[in-house]
Amino acid sequence: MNNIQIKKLSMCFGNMFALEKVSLNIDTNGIHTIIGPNGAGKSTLLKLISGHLIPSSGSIYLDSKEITNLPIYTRAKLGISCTYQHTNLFDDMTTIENIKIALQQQYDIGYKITQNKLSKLLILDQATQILRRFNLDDYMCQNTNTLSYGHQKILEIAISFATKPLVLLLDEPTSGISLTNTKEMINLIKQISKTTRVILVEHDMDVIFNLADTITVLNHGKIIGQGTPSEIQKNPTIQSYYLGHYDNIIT
Amino acid sequence: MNLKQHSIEKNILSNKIILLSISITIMLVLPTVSNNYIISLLIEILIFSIFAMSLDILIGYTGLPSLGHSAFFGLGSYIIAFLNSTNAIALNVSQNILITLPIVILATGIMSFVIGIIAIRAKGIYFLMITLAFAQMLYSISIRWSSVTGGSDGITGILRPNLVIGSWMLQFDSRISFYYLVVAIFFITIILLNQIVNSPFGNTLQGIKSNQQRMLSLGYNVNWYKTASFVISGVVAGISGMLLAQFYWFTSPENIYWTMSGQALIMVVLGGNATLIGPIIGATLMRLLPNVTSSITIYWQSYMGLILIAVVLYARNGIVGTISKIISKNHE
Repeated sequence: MNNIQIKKLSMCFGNMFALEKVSLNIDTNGIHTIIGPNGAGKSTLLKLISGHLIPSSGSIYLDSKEITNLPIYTRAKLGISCTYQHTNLFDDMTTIENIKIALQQQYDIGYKITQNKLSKLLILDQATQILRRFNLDDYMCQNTNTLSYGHQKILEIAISFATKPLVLLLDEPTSGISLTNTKEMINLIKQISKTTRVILVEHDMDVIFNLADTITVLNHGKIIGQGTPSEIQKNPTIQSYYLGHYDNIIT
Repeated sequence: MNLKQHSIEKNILSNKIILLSISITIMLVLPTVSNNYIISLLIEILIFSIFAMSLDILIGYTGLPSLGHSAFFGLGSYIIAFLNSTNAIALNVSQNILITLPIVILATGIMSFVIGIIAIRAKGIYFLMITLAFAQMLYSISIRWSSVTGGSDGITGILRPNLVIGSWMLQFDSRISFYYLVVAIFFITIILLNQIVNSPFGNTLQGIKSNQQRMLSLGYNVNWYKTASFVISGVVAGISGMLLAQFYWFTSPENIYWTMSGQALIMVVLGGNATLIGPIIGATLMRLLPNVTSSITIYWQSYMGLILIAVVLYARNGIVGTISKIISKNHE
């Protein structure tokens, strides 16, 4: 369940192909990582799955239901949640308010003009639990624009997690954050992947090989390899394209 | 943490109830110690406060800067003129507010829905231009279609309402009785809007104002919520327009003209957006200032301009927003 199937997906910006006839089946449990050099089309692929971009051609399926042309909010309701490369929070709200607004949607009460005390307390309690799980409970009442970048990135994932997604799309969650935050982030993603399918775009090879169960390698908008981390490391084509340096580092 | 937050919320609620009770008492007692001039001024202030609060829902809570809000204000005033006036074009449906008010709500609701679903597709300055264009379109119709709207002369003889329940009837003919009706509608509006902005729906609107993209990726149908906010805002503006027309026994295209939207915008900015109480203070200042200063200077609008420049430059949260910021800083 929670399979993502991509068929001959192309995305054209003017005359340039960001993705060209990409077909991919993400049906194994755990963390699926998409890697590739800059401009390979990784973030474009993620945006096409989340609905931030509509493809030029091809189709996307979630559990055999076509979602290619569905708007972002409908995909989110179906269980596809995403985080952004650069943080995208409710800056004028506190950390807990950011989580509460996600929970409000999760409980489908965002349209209500009344809320009983029990429901208020339930959401407050859940939000507190989520912040505790993501080690953000010390910053509960702090405005998000006063948090460190690393904590903002973690909060970004916590907000998505609050919507109980089936598929979580993470776009470079560790970019620009400290080593301590990176370690924390890796643990959190590992925990989340036990219950949620995670599709991860990442540059950091240590993070990739620490987290990935399966890897897809993109280059110039095309898939040049797929497999487990050890298969990818042994693939000579990929090494020549992309991984040569890393291979040298780890051997 | 939960208990602390719970007790803070409880305190805020009890403070609000106390403030509301004091305000209602003052409003009820005021006519007994005031003359006709002051009562008229109070009626105007209350009506424009309702109008400004309606715009605050759109600007302050949803982040949609409209310059066409007069469309609904004017529409409310014309609908009541068609429903009940001594004019030949009037349908004379009923004078009973229990019949006319729902019709005004329904008509302005439909109109704001139609304009809303088109306008909310634009953002920022483009939204402002679309709303302005719609309002100017209605203004043009009100001027040109004189056989129905009375043209630039407007419609006179709009009757003040009564309240009929079975054989029991209450007339709002006199200034004082109409004042009490406006006070009642004013407080009902405050209570309802306060409930809306502090509800999950209100949180959703504030989320849209803060980060529309994030709301979409959380699964919120942003356009639906923006349209709902537009309709609520339009309906409340329509009610205020209806009250003004009944108070003056008159409506004219001036009520739809963009300067009326501009006045409401100034009231919201001056008093403080996203506060509800701010627009009331803004409306009070805007109605009081010309009356107080006109005997001293004829340049009151210039002074108003200077005050507005100062607020925009140095107190962007408006009077209420700035005061509450200072208070919360002192508490820290």
